[in-house]
Amino acid sequence: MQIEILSRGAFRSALVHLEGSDTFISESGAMFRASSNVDIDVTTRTKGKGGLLRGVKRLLGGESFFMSKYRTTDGGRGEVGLAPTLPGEVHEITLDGASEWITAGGSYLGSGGDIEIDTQFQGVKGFFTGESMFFMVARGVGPMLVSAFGTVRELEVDGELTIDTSHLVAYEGSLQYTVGKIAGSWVQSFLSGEGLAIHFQGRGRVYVQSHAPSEFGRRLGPLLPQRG
Amino acid sequence: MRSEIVGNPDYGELIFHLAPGETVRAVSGAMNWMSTDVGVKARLMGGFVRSFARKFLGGASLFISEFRGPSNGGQLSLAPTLPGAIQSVKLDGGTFWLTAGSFLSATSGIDLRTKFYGFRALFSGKGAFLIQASGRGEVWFNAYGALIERELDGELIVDTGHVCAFDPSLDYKIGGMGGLKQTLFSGEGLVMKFSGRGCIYLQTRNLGGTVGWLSPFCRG
Repeated sequence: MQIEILSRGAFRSALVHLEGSDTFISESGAMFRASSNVDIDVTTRTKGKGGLLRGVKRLLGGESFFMSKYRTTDGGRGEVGLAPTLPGEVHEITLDGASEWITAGGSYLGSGGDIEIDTQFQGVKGFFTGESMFFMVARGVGPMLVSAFGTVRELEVDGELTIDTSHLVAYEGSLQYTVGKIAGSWVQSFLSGEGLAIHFQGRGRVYVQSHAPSEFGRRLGPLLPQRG
Repeated sequence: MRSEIVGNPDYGELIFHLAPGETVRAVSGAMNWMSTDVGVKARLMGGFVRSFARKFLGGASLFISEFRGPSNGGQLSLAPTLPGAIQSVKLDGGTFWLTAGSFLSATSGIDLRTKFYGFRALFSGKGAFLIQASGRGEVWFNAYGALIERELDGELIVDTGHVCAFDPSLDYKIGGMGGLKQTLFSGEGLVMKFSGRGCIYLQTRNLGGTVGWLSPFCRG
């Protein structure tokens, strides 16, 4: 299986080349092109156990209930084009099996068929990230695609790093995080307009996006006509 | 102070490499990521009364954030809410004006004030307040879309909502485009007529336009 990231700049997409018995899984609705020998199966499960419950948990994690599974019908070569909803970059993360990867805020786009996708309850601290109580966890070996609003930057953490919650795309499972104030005091944190931030500790990689979908939404939302 | 702008023109992001004790200020909520031990403080911009007046008349935030480099130095990344370009100007004792949503960051030698720009500014679609930057240092501002820099000597007509920043040596009037018919039906509405000598920075998109286009698609 080979993945090409197409286009430079703000409107990237991914082209997944399938071969033989390769399978690829994406969030539902992400496919915008496919060769005619590609079969799409709708499923609530990825690799491993689970089913309905995992679908429900995915919904809570801000992702889709159903996942789409792609394979070629004739065992030959085929291709699937995947595109995210928001304008921005698409990034490939290669999972080597050594550590799991956690994606946040709906940034999961797709992954190879050998990768197990699960949701992980983040507890109360997840709630306070303002994102979701559940993050998506990817385990196994193979490629995973994440999408971002804006550009994606890989940051190497060795020690500590603070990230605005709405800018988090994905992080390596070797990292620990706490959610807390950004300034010295709570009052200062809220007055500074930053509110809560994620403090990472340990060693590992973090992907951040240059812009925050939720901030953009909050700017746009009040200007739109009222619903209902 | 070392800084770099990355991602222009689509998704400008401003990254600072802060030396120990060095400070920069930024519009509230702009922090994207940073070294954990960078110090953060909220400060009123331009005094208590002005801040409150700006809050209630202009809708802008009361506070700006001040970031301080930790003892071993640190990194700080800032990004505006809207996708677009970031640019900076260096001031050497001069003054520079920014519209409310365009200010992103400034070095510590820059004095930031809110300036009531008269009731004509209410019609500019940007609120009646401008941010006045003066002193010595660097100021960063952002656009929705690309930034166009225009060295003006004479007059220029600009659609309201497309102005990011300009030199105070420029004056402007609010007016219609042509006669009453053109003002009402050209789709331009009110425009700003700039005159004088100085630099003006324009953005190639405006949020009002995006909202106007999106609104009919919002159903209950």
